Amino acid sequence: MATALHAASALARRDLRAALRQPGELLAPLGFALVVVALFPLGLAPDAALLRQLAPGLLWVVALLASLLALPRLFAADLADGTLEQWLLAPQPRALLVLAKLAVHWLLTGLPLVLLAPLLGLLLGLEQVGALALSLLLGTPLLSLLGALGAVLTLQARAGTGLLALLLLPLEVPVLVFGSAAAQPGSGAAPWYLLAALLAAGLALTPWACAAALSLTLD
Amino acid sequence: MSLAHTAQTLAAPRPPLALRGLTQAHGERLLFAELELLLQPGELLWVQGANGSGKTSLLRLICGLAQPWAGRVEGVEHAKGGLLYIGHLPGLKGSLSALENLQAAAALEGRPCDGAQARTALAAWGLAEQVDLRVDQLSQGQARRVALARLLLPEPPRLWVLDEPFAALDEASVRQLAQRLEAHAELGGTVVFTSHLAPPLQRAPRTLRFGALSN
Repeated sequence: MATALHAASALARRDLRAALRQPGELLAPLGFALVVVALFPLGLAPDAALLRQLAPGLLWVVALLASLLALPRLFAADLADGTLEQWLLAPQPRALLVLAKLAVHWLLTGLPLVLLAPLLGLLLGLEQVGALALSLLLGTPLLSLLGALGAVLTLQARAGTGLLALLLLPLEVPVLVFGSAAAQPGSGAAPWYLLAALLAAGLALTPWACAAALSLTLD
Repeated sequence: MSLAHTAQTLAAPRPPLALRGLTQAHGERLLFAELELLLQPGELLWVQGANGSGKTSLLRLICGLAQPWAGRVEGVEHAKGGLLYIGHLPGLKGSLSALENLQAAAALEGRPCDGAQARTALAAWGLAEQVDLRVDQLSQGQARRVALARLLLPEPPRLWVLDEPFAALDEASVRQLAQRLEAHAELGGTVVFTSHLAPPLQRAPRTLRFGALSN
């Protein structure tokens, strides 16, 4: 088990280093979120009360779309340079390696969105930015987990990015519904519990599903 | 690099690599059918054929990266780390240094590899000066040698499956690789490789052209 954990940690460190040396790709989702939020007052109306009311839902939609931007390269980069075959053939539990990759992916794409969320909320006049950030803290790992499954299934597909969005968006509707409900001022405990339950289920099942799907995709 | 330890690792009893009635197709095109082969420890197999004839497909079947249409592969100890595969792509991250790539690969394979061992392996391929350079700053031949440095790390897996390992190498590196493959076989390892050019091996390897097995 120690060897497997060492291997997973090595894979995570490798991905982290590689990503941090190409920061442009990391900044794209954040830049997208910032620009879209800046456009809402122009597109809807410069009505502070309306924007404040819509803010949790809008920001959750932005987070969901921003998370899609980073997904196509999640496994495609490894496929292109041959490292995917290398870690698939490693004598380690594949699901553990997938989980390590997803942890890094969330750290680089989900966590920055969580940290940026209070600022985005304030831009739209939201007062309870803490609830928004917390809901994203629970929800963005789920977006990474579901997104990874979509990324694997569309790995070898032509026009994979479009297909990925079509495949994923319906799957991510529950996350969006519970996440934006949790971020609403005065929301009860139910959406939080449901979001946490979805995250627990996603953590337990998705790495296995991705590992199995990767084998089928490469065949 | 502990040769004694390597010899000890490879000396334990192990099953031969066996291809039993292996059949594979690419789309509608049959690549090979009913392929039978038994490769004992200590043997080298040179897989030959024209482009697109199915050499890489065969290697991927042996590694378990693809499933055959029919037949099976026996004797590959995946779970025990008994397989080392270097594909047509070198399996390196361009933004990482040669050293970082090699250490990450070793960790994934569950092989011990500290900085000194990795540097020694890279230096053995003439890359002492390039150890800390990013791989995307290396030439194709140098990147190939970084990938091949995995062969020189301690506790090598028994079965090496190498897709065009001689490609992009200079003459000296080709000779060095050939010696390395033979040394691995002499210690009881098994090597399966593809190559368009005849490798400068001291002893003739078994050869497999699709449809004809010789030696």
